[in-house]
Amino acid sequence: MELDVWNLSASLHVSDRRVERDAERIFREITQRVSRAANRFDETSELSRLNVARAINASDDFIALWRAADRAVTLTQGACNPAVLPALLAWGYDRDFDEIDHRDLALQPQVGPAQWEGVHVDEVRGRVELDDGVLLDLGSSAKAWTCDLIADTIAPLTGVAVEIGGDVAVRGTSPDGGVWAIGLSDSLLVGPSGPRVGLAHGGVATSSRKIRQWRVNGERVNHVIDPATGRPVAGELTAVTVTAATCLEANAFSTAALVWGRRDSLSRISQHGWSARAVCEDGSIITAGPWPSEETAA
Amino acid sequence: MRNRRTPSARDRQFDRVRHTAQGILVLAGVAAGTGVGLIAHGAKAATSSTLPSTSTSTPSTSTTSPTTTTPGQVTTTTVYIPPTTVPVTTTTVCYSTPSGNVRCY
Repeated sequence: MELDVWNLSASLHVSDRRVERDAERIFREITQRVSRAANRFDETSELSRLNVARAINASDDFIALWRAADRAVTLTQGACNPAVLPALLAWGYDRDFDEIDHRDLALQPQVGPAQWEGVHVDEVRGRVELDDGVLLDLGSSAKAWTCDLIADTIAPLTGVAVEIGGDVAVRGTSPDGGVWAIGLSDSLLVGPSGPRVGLAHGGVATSSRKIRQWRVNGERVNHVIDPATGRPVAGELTAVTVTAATCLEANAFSTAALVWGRRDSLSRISQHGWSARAVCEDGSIITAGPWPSEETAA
Repeated sequence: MRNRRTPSARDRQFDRVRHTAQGILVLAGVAAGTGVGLIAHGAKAATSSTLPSTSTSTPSTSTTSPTTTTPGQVTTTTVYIPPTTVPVTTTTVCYSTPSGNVRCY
């Protein structure tokens, strides 16, 4: 079934149609809880209140989401980093993307490294505090983590595939008893002739620097920020798809790969045991780990 | 021949019994208090994460199927199964894309 959440397209597929309504209820309950904790575009969410007040007594849900983000930061040695928000805002992405799409902004961004260490969390007391200048956007890891959580919750009932905004988590068998067929695209336009893979369990995520682009002082920029510099990423890789045991890890490494660049990204992903497919600037495809040969639907 | 105890000897015996009993009670109290403390500590720790974390898998191991040990008790071994090709006749269920609103053509 097709759904939408957080202004993103989403879909939910179950092997056993008899539990479809239960699965949808689980999907909505979990996404609502995550939204209350970490929706940056809802000023009443805990995350929004934290970014303004600089300190909050956080819910268990928020702490769980912070843990997921912290894991993404740790796994990627800081390359996938929720603390890049100040840099993203400085480059002009401080409003709905439709308002900056195809525009050339006159800005002089004053940016620096992301300060994840400026987030202080007391997990027992549920207290979260931010250092001066630190702003958080947990959206990326939260989306992937939500897919995992929904899939894990539904999995005891039936095989399931959950997709939110292009991040996918699958558990159990597909309706035909085999693997789940997941299409891949480095843009938001998808079609039947694109590449796809079969996934038995885990997650798949794609990051691209070719979407959400705009100009600043004539220079083309994008929404993927290098946490070390505070600048939009460039380089030879334009899009990276990663499969991993969880959607959270796939998401973290697909984002980090764009930051690391061609030379380091695929070897690092392989070293962690995951698989990847990267699209280069010239359109060529390179892969890492046990990625299957390209297969398209009939 | 049994020894006859004087009243003062009986009092000393009662004192020893009383002190022993008090010691046992104190030790039992400490143990119970410690137990309650541990339980309370555990309960506090448990409430610090209501949403189960799904991010604890270790890479480079291999299967993901839950393993049923006893009825009602399921332990999950998180494993990574690499992607595969799928038969061309298999329906694509969803798409992995950059974050946004996916449109089909």
